[in-house]
Amino acid sequence: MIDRLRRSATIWAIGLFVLVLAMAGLLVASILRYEQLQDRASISSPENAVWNSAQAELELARFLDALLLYGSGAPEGDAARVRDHFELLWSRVGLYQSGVLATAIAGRPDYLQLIEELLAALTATDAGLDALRPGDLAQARAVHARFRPFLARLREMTVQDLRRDMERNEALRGLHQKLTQQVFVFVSLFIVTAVLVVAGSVRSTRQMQRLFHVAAAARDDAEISRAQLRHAVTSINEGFALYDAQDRLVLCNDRYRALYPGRTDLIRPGALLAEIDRLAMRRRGQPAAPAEDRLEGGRWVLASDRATEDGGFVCIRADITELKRREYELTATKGRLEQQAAEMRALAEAAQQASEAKSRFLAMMSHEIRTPMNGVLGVLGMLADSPLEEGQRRLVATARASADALLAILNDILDFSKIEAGQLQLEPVAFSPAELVGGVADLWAVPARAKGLALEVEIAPDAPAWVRGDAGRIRQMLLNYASNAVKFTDAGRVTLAVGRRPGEAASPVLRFSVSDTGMGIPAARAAELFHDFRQLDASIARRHGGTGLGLAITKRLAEAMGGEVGFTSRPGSGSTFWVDLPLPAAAAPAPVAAKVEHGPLLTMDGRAPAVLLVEDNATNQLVARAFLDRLGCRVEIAGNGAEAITAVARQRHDVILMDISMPVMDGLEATRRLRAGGVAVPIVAVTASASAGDAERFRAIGMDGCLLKPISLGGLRAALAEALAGEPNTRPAATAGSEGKRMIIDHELLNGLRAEIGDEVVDTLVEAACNDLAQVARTCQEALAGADRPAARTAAHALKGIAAAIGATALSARAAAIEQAAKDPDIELPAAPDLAGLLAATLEGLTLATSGARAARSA
Amino acid sequence: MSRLVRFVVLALCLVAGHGARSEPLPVPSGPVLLTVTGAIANRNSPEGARFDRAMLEALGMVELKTSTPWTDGVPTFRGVPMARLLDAVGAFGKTLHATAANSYAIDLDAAEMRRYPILLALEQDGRQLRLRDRGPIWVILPRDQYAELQSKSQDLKWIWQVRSIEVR
Repeated sequence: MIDRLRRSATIWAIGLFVLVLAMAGLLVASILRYEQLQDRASISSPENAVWNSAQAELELARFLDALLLYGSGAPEGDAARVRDHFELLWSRVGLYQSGVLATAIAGRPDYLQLIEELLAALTATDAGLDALRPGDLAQARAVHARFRPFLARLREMTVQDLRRDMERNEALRGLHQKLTQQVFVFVSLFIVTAVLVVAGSVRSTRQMQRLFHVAAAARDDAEISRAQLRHAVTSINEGFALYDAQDRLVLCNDRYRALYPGRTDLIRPGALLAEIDRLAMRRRGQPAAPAEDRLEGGRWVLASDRATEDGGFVCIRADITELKRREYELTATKGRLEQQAAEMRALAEAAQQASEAKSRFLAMMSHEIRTPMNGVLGVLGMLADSPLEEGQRRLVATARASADALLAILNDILDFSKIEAGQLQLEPVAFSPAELVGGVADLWAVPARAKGLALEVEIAPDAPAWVRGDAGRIRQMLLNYASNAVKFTDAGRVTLAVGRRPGEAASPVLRFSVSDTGMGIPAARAAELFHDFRQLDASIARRHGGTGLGLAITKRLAEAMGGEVGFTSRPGSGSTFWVDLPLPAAAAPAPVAAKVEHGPLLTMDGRAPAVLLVEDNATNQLVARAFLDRLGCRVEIAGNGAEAITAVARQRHDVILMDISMPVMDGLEATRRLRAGGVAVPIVAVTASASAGDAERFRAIGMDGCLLKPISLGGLRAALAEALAGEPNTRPAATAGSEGKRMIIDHELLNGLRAEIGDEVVDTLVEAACNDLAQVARTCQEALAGADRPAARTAAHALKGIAAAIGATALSARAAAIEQAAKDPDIELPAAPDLAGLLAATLEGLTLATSGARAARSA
Repeated sequence: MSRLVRFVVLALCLVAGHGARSEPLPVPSGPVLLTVTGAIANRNSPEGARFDRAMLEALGMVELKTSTPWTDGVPTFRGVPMARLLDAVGAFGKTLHATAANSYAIDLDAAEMRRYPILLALEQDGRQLRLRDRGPIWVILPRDQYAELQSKSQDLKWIWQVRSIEVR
């Protein structure tokens, strides 16, 4: 519809334009014609000339009148007037001499002739005019006569000019007529055109109106759409801008403007994209992908730019400054949190490590304290066994009781530390719950009776005869409960019971409990009872002693066995503490032969066994020596591993009791060296903390048994008996007697020395030793040859010591044998013809070892 | 202060102007060339202000070079500026009715006469204009200097042989 309208309007416009052009052409033609006419008129008609000739005639007439009047002597006559008129006439004629009039008459000879003659007459008259006297009529007539003919001639000129003028006017009229005709045609054409236009207009008015109506409606629709669009654009949350194909801004909303605070004035329709948004300009023509722009004002926008179908460009800007800020904060917060978490983890780990370190330290301290305690207890025990006066006996009994109490506390702490450090090892065995409970009751029977308490045992009918579990630990728990019950109950009874857990007849969970009729536990305190290092009252702790760890240990132990602890109590009327443990039923074990606690003295091939006690602690040395003495052993003591090696090289032993942790060289290293050196003497490890793993380890490096500290007499006897009964032949190394199989040089020992005291010292030592060895060996050989027993013994002893010190194992052993032989007058002195050979081999070996070590150093 | 100074200066100017205008015109001693009548403030005779050549020259002569439709080349004219003459007589009318010796007369617009440096020429190329030379007074328009003065209608204002001017 609009197109049709536009087409018809275009046709009309073209038609009108053509008509206007035609009329304009006509008009121009007419004007040109008129111009020509004007030109011709101005060229052909010197109307000035006509006028001037008429004026000249008039002036001439006036001059002549004045002249005659003056000449006649009339009173009006005036010489000045004559002169004036003469001058005026001259000025009139003079006009022809120059300017436009001169040009006008240039082609007119008659005119030129007339003017020339007139000027001549004027010039001729000029001089005599003033001489003219009034009344001199003759003179006046003479002048008059001279000028009079010019009147007619000027008239003739005027007439001629007028005629020419008329002719010219005639021509002009013709031209005018022509022009009029043209104008008529022009006007007619115009009228026709106008009529056509009007007719056409009228004809199409209705259609036009209709079309206009439609167009208006369409325009209204478009306007509404545009308004809606504008409204939409204005009200959307994002900045919106539309650019045309030439990147000029078509429209945008206020939000878009607000994004460019510095350029608000610039952002108006027609503004260039490049001036407003350089970032967007850079993206122009690229595939549209949302981008995050940081604007000049520091704001962040999410820019979604899209090309439109007509080559324009739509920009949508979402303000994401706040989002960005939060994102940044989140990132920062996250970073902080992670950092905090890491710090917390590190702290927790550090705390954990510190805690473990503390536990280990506690455990170690407990050992360290327990060791002298053992010493004290052992000595006190020995003292109690010796003949004493009554007063002394009481003192010793008191000391033993105190030491026992102290040891109990230490044991508690050690237990707890072990549990804490995760070192607790359960050792399940088959046992009888009833027997266990009975045993605990027996232990507390005497103290209970002393307090006037009844101690009762209740074995439930459904209690299994045999179960499997760590009986020792369970006994510990019950002892703990029983101890508390006896301690805190002043009157009434203490009952130890065992049975299925109440209400769970078929369950494998057994409940061991200890009830009392004591003061009970306040409900408020119940929660803290099983906590670590807690006691209900500090004063109670002081009165009754104890670490307060008992219940905590009980709880930990129960948990380690998969059970739980608890209690019920009514303040004033007593409490019941129980521990529930899942204990599977077990078959009755085979009857065990009763161990001999205090058997006869130990013998070795009918003699007293030689025992090397390797122990750094003097107290332990004392205790162990005392036990060993009682067992009928001969004891040699070494302060550490190194001394032990020396001792072994020096003298033969039947068994070695080897403490594990010692200064200078520990038991493990010493064992390793002894075994490497071919020493086959049984070695029993003595340790305060031997786990199952430890025992394996000890065995792996060549130890034959393990004795736990604190050493008990029975334990010691059993360990020694086992070690002494062992088959030496089954050991991997050679027997003690076969010296020939010993190593010439103990390289390990030498290397150890090098590591301990440095290569230079060792080299010097070896060098010195070699000299000494040679000399002492010679002395020894001479003594042997001279059958000088004391000399041989001294020399052999020295030889043995020197050789042992530098790892000359074979030589040392040989010397030891000689020494041994020299000592005993019953034994025949060996001839020892091989001593020189052995010495030579030793020296060679030492030299090789030294040079080898040097080579290794310089390499 | 500055306002006072300005007032005093203005007053002095007014007094000076009035004095100049009120200066009595001298009486012509030679032949009278021009008579100004009508709406004028200064007169030296009952009919008006009469000027001989000396009086006109005393008003101050200026030069004007311009072509004319009636002369060849570019003559140099000397004479009294019309404005100066009008000031000298204290003319206060709008129209100048100029009459020539040959009774030719034309009405000139006083304002226009003042607007351009129009000359009452007394001399052409160093010679006094005589009656026969369209003198003794010829109104000269600065035709060459002002294009708007070159039309045919403007040529009518070049009245020569002026005898009298009536200010209306």
